[in-house]
Amino acid sequence: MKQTEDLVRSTTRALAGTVRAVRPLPPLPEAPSRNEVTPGRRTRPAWVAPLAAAAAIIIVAGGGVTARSLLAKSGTPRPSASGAPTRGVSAGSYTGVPPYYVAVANSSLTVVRATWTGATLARITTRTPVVGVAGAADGRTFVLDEQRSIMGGKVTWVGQPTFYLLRLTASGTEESLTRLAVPAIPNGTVVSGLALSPDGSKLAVDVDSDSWPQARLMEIMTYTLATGAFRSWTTSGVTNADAPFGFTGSGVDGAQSISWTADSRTLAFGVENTSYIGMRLLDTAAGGTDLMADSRLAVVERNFRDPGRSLRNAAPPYYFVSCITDAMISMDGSAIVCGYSTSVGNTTTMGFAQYSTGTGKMNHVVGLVHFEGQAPIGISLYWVNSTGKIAIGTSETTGRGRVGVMNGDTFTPLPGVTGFEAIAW
Amino acid sequence: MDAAKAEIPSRSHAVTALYEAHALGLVRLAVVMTGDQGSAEDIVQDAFLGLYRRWDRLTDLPHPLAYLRASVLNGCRTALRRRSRADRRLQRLSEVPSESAEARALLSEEQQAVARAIRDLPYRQREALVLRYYLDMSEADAAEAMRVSRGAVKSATSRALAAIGRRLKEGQS
Repeated sequence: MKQTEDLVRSTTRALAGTVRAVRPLPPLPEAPSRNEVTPGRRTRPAWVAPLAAAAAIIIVAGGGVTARSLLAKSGTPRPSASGAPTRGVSAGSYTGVPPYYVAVANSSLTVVRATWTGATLARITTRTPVVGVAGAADGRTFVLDEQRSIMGGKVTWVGQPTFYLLRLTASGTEESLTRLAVPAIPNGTVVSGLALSPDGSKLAVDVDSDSWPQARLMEIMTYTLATGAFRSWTTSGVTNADAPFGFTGSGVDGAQSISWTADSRTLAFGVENTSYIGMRLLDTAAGGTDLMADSRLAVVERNFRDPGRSLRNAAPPYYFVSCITDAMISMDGSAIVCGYSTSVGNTTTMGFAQYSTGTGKMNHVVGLVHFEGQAPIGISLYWVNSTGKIAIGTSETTGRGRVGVMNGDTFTPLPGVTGFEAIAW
Repeated sequence: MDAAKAEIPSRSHAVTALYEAHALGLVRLAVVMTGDQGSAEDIVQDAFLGLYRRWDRLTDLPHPLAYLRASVLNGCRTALRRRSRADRRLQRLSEVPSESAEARALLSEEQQAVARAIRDLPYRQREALVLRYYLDMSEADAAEAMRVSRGAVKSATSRALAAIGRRLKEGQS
């Protein structure tokens, strides 16, 4: 990784060094109105820098932590209606899509919105910024992760994160916000993933050392909310040759990296090391404390030692990317859904694919977006249904992106899902 | 001469002075972000014109360079979004190389491969990478510039490095 950093440094500086002079600034107007200027003649069409240039630079695909909805009402888990809706069915009728989502709008504001209308139902202000959010399967129980302080434009680490349990009423308004009494995370680590179990009883927290990518410590902890009891599974990126690079993905700041099955027992997490990139399954009810030894490798996206077994080579010339950083396990535990892209000739296809946890092979395409060219790609996955056939996510190319419900080749945009730092259904 | 008119020369002079001091560096930053000097110069000029336009409201601006840099980065994002639309039409006719002829001449093959890999990153990852390794910003400073959390910078940077590493590895195999 160090070598890559050095290459990036030398390349960007060499690229910058190709600019040796710039054209002069056009003549500035003699008497502009106070808030309006008429620029001098321009040699090229203008791209007017927005007034809020110094304000938020937040990409729609910014991402966050997600949970899946299996329940139609709070409390008792029950399976969602089986199968995907038929094409042409109104997106609003998709079975199992949660009615509300929680989005971190900015450093002090978290909002609850209606999924299908984008209407804001609740506004939650906090003194310490919320940086992560995760939801249970009932669609009305969430955990907020307060971690840092932003004062006067300065982002400051304030020590231990604080977790809050947010409960919504049946109409999506705030019912309660309660601080959770969970033990401290190890010093020197940061939360990189967060997942609330479907029944809302356990919180899984993925932490890594602040020295990433050296990753001296990687740990997944589970907290029982009612009692504060916790378990942890660790691995050392330095001494464990199986995981020298640690985890990828970030449930808090990026896309989902850990997710639960419906029984609130199995946890899926992504791993990248010198051997492979893939997803592992951890039985949190079984014994053990070794994250690697006590988990099972379910899906191998890339096999560096045996390229023939990589998913990308299963159907050449396809090229798969970012599978584990945006991967989630379906509630029934049968499948892992992850973002991918393929380039064939001058056409790029991106979307989400479902892989069997039993065979490790792709068996279903959840969402597809086709476009010409090989543009940069960003994919984020926020929610999958119980069988992993319907998802909420976004696929974007350099800043273009919409969050929507994906079902096969049907993409239904959701209104008003913009400008968030973290989001959860 | 009224007070408003009296402000004009100082405003103009100040913005011009800032341009002379920082335009080259900002154009270089924009070139790293967009890969195209023409676009980069447009973006930087727009940033300075925006500063000039809002001068009245920015008289207490403590760090004009930080403001300009944020404005340039925002302009880069807008430009890349527009280019993405245009590329879909242009690429039906021909592949348009993003690096200039000069860049291709001055960069080693490995650096050209890295430049292509950077160009293919999602915007936020590219921005985080450039702030961290081109401008040598700390995670906290990059977070402030991007108006995101420090963890988001870390996440975007690590993803970007991993993606570039994979691209280079593929290029070798």
